[in-house]
Amino acid sequence: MSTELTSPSIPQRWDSPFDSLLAPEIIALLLQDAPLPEELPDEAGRALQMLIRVKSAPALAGIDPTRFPQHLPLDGILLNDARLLTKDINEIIIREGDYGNSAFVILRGSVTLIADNLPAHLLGRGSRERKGFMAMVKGALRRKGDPETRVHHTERFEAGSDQGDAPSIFLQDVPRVLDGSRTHTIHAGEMFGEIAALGRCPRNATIISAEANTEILEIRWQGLRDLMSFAPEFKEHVEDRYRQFGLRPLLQGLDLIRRLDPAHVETLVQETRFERHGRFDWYGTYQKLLSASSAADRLRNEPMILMESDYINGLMIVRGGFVRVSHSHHGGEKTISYLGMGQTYGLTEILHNHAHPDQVIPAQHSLRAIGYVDILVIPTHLVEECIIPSMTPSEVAEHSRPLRTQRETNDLALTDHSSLDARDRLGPGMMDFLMDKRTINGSAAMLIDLDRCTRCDDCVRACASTHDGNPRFIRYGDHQEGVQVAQACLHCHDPICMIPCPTGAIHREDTGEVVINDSTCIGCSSCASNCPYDNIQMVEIRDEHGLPQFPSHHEQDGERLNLFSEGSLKRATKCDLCFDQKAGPACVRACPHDALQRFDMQDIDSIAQWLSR
Amino acid sequence: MAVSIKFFVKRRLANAALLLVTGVLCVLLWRTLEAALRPQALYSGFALLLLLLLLTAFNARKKLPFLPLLRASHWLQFHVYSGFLSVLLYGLHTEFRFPSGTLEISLSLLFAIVALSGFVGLYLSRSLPPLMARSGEPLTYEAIPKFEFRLRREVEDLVQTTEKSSGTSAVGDLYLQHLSAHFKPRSVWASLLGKPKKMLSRALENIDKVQRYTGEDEHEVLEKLRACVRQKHNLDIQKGSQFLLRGWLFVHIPFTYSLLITSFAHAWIALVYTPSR
Repeated sequence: MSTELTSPSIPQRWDSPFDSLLAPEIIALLLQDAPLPEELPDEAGRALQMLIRVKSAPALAGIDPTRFPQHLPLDGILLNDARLLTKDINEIIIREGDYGNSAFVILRGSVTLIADNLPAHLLGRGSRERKGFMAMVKGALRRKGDPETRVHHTERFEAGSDQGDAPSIFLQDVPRVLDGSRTHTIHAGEMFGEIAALGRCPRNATIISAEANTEILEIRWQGLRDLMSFAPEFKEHVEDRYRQFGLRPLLQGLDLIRRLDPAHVETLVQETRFERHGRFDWYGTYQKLLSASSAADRLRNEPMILMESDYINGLMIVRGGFVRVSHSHHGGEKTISYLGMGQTYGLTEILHNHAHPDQVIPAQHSLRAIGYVDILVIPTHLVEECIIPSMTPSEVAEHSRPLRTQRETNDLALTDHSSLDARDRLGPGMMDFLMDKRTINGSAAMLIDLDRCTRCDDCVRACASTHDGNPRFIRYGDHQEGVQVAQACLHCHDPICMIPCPTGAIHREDTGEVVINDSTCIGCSSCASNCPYDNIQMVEIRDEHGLPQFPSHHEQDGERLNLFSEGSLKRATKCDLCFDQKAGPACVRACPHDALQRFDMQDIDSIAQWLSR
Repeated sequence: MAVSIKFFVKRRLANAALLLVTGVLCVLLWRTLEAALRPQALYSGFALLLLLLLLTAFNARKKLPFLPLLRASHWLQFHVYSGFLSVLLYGLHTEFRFPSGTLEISLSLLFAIVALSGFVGLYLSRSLPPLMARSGEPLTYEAIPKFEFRLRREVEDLVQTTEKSSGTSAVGDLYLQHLSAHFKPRSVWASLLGKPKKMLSRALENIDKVQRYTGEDEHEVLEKLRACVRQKHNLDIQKGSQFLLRGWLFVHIPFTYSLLITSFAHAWIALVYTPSR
């Protein structure tokens, strides 16, 4: 009798290589310690050649493979977390405004970066216009049929849930488009797209292939993260590029730096340090953590950025993510505030120490990473040399209030002083709640004042009326101190749902709303799985007779092939903030009791004001 | 120290002031028309009918949420304060005398029902939400029976398991004699009239009484029972409150339409039989 035990296989990170054409067995063959067989399968030979070429590209050439741990070899990362793309001339590689989780290295050919905004139709984006008066009346008069009916449904994309299967989009009328536009050519060996991939911000330019058969290596963020961790030369390369292209505009966007002379700005650009804290993929685990641990444990699990009573080494600027600001309180920690993108910490202490060198004080609060945080640190001596001399007396006075008062009123963010009282009014319980539930990520979170809400559901009915009879949110959700956060899309500042969308159907409108383009959604449910708040629903769509819709069948080698073997067609649906309605979100307008409001969670002033009406 | 007046207080004061001014103007106008020997009853009647139409338009606004017709909260404010004004106008129109005749009595009765139900609705809309918010988990009305059933089953399972494991009947007896009625799903009327607060304290007292006769293990069970009793209390509060918050509209709206139809009939009769000057 066999004594061998069998156990269920646990999914591994590299079960699905990024390049769907590269079989895991081939990758395993190439990664084995033993010498490769003389007769290699064609596929393995091609992959091997790719590896050699990739590793000789300037962006990756200097990487020392011995620095990588055995379970994460460099070759493994390149074979599993990267893939080769061949782009035709004028084919769009990345579009301005899209969210992406990949960086690109050009292996052969060149690409053109277009820095100017291009019209949506040129980028293959279907633009929806706001509904006119007659269209709204017609929509209301139309007989309400079955839920989720799509009468004029057209299948634009029929298969595939992998980015590799996404349709190609070509920029049309290129000479005219590029005429007068700010462009830049990126040549073979160079890298692009890493700033958006690592900072989880939208792409800030459109890039098209400048030559036919341009070969590009696409590296997904998991691979990028590991390369950054184990290859200091690669990290340095990425940071140099960020310093060159991303940091200057960001610093110049800050009030205190905008006014500095170019020489000082250049010094700051060169000397600013980058810090990353927390898990890039926090959204995968935070709900489990939330249910399985106490508030104190959760706080302890958040990576410490700066400990209260540590010396402040520099002015900290939040580049991405959220930071919890707390201070010790009766043996525990009291959360008093949070900082988001563009907010800063540390100026008050630096000002104090600059003015009183004999009475140096440490940090007055602890800073912790909520999820994932990207921080820029301007060293203290540069703040003293470049920034403080340019501050007006009133600014200095504003940031130099007695520290004890600040400790009580609690905020040091130089960009957000008006929120001092507001944060106090919200109280630590509400602050903790908003941070633990990650509601702070919302740019249009639906808050319901339970002291005023009569549960009449007018908001839900209004939502349904404006969406062909299908409500796009649930009046249910977590609550704290009489405030409920309804299950409606938060339109996140960091929209994680957009990252895996293979067709870019889920996107952010120019006006900020995160919306799904129904005609390009292929129903792969990647966005719904990625939404940490469960605010995206997959729905079965129906035809005008109320019957479920099925995908078209295709002939392949004489056999009928059903591309969607799982069943009927589905679409991702969620609150779109009534972006096509002239009057704005119907839910807010429909509430007769002023109980429902949408909030940008960075605007704590407005929330506090609303709560203490 | 300057005291900042809260938004809702400010709004209430402003609207009340506006209502007072409008009311005084209406009375003055009435007196002027009376002095000028004008048909003030006819004018006030039409003003009242117009006001009734505007008040009813609030319901139409709710049905057309997609139209940019101001926020529903603005409409509600107008609805509430115009409702108060309509009572004054009605008094002026009828010259504050007791109605006579079938049509007049019907109209007055309908008006009284609509106005009274409106005031009751306003009171409920302002007083019940804070009560629900503080009683516990916010629940959807339609889901409450499911929660009641689930809670009762959980409690019964807990009691049975405890009886088996402890070998004593203290917890079982407690449930059968004192708690089973508390966990029984109640009708909304029973939830409303059954004095839920009193039932809660009585159930908790009964648990306290049994605690002295039970061991450490059972104390934990009793603690769980206390939590369940509080959950049931919340369910009763949610059910009763939400029923009232929905129920008053079933009086207010149908009677409003009846009032409107009767008012049109009254206006038509008044126009037909008013002697022309």
